[in-house]
Amino acid sequence: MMQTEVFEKVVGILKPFVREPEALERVGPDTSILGDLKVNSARLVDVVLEMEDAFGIAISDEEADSVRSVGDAVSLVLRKR
Amino acid sequence: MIVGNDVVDLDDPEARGAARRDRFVRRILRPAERRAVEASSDPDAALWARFAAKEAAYKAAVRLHGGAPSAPAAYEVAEDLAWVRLHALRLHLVVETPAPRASGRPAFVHAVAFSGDWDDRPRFAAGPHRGDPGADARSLLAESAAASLGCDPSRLRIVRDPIAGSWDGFGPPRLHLDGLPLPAPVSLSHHGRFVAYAHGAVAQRRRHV
Repeated sequence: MMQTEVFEKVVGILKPFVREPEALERVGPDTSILGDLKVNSARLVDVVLEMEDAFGIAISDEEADSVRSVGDAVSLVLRKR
Repeated sequence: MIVGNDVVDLDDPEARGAARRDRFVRRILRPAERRAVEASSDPDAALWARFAAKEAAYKAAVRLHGGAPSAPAAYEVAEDLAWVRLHALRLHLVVETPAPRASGRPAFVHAVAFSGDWDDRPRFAAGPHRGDPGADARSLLAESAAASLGCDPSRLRIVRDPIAGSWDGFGPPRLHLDGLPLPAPVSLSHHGRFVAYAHGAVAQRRRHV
């Protein structure tokens, strides 16, 4: 799976949990999931679970902790696959 | 003193039924915490009380150590909700719930985690917002701190400094009086219909006001 494809899929996973929908219109690798998209900490747990299902990977708490931006999430998926 | 707080609206769609979502529960709670939730007459309220406690402890812990883990399972909550612990850091815990309504359950849970003496526990409160959760939470905090200081709330500001690498690019909120920082730790939270604040003692500056 290419980086662009993973990026699009990650953004699709994030979409239902975003509380700042207009921030999605300019989403990029540096977009902060919590700060810019305003995904709250409880929903971030759901995002991690959905990423595990969508990409067939297991994400540890430590790995989830390292994800700040959309680009971090994409890099994590590419590293785990 | 360090302090952190977190409020959860129990009627919010994302909060309802969460205790029945097994993977979600396993991801955020430790085994003993899961047993407490399963044994509760209101599993959702019990789950979110523990989640809020962990989130409050995280907000407090990052003041000591910027790299404190944010994973809820890293934090251990006492069965009686008296404390919350991250490794060697054990914090007092208060979980505030309003009286149950006709539905039999409270409207929200508000957790406050703090270090230091119990007798010096922070001031805190939660309530419905008036339309702008962020501004309303700051306003309630300023009113409470101003009452402690005996000054007008307009002299207080809550500021957050940019900090690269933090969860949202900013550090914890800090209280300023007339543009100068006060030593009191503060914490803010909002979720759904509710906002909440907690702050440590600010009265030591009173004679300067």
